[in-house]
Amino acid sequence: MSAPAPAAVRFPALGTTAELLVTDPALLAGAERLLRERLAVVDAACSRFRADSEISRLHRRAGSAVAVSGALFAALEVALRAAERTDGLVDPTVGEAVKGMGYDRDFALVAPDDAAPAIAGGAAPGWWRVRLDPRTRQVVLPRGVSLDLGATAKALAADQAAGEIATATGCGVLVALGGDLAAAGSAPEGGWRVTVGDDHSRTDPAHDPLVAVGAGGLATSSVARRTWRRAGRTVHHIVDPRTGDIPAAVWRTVTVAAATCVAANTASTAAIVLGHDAPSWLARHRLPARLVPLSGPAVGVAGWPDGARGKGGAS
Amino acid sequence: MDPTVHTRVARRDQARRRATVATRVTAVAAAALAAAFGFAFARQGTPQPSTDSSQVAPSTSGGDDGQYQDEDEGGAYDDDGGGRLLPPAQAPSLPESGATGHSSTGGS
Repeated sequence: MSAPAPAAVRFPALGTTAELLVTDPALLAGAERLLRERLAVVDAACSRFRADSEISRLHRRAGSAVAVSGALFAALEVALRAAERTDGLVDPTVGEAVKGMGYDRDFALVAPDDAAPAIAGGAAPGWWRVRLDPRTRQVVLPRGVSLDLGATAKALAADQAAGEIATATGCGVLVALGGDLAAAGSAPEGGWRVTVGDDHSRTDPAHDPLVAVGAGGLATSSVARRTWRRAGRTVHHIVDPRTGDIPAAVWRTVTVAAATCVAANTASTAAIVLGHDAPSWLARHRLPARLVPLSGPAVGVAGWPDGARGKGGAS
Repeated sequence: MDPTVHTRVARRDQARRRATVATRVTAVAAAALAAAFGFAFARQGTPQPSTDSSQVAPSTSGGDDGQYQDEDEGGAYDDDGGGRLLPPAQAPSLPESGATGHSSTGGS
């Protein structure tokens, strides 16, 4: 007798879509409860758009040592590690730069087109200026520094939720938060099938590349989503910490597989920032990836299956 | 020093050497900053190890910080054990026919 098909549920969360799949349909309701609890904790800790979030409180108290929750401390640790691992290509201190681009409120409220120009604020203050004390769980954020944990906090939530649910239920779990996927436990036979596209909510299994993943993380960064226009210029949510501006337009979408969703997301974001150097950087880290240029064929590196490269960017 | 912390400090020291922006605060200014803020915040212009318990004095703030003290997640997340961007145990593959459980990835 074959195993039952995995069960799935989707709901809005963290400004995107949360999707949960479990290999045992009978455990879906309990797994969903755990996922919702984890996402509520992450949102309360890390949302820069909520005045009552912990990170907003940290911003208001910049310059002081502030004790924070385990959830925010973990998110900060992960963000700083991502910055360290990428030599600052993925730096959480780009908060002011992201605001300068016009992303200063929940994305649904960002004006899609405005005559006022986006303002590139120069290099980010630098991740190394944020002080964490793991013993007391205190944080010192220098005055004038704003954090944007968007690049890593969502991926961390996916990793944490997948791990928690797999441990609690004993079944295979896939958690997808927007483009960030984390798999834990025993995947269904043949792996989880994942369609890869520019927009996680508009993929087409009949036309977009399809891959199977067993465990770990898969994440996509794209400049084709969360875009808006300022003074006639299209801008997006990924900022180069070295300039405070959007990076040079080379890749439309980059998808990376890694041991964790955090590592995958960190690498996919870094690849967008790196531009032409991204394929060699990803290969050097042995991270399987699919890179779609603005025009021309998609590129696969480090073991990304040739049959799942797709047709690439528009010419 | 805990070996893990030592490793992190060493790694961040490498980052410090690589950093192109390294505005060093003079000893006088450092002392003034330390006095002004009441804790070792004096070298903030220089790339520093970000996790260093010696750099953050006990909080002098009141308010509602205490409500978070009962959680115990901080520092628990260790996704790769060594600070590297680890590849997956197995690269993505082409799905077999009949494979079940479908999701999608893309920009969000």
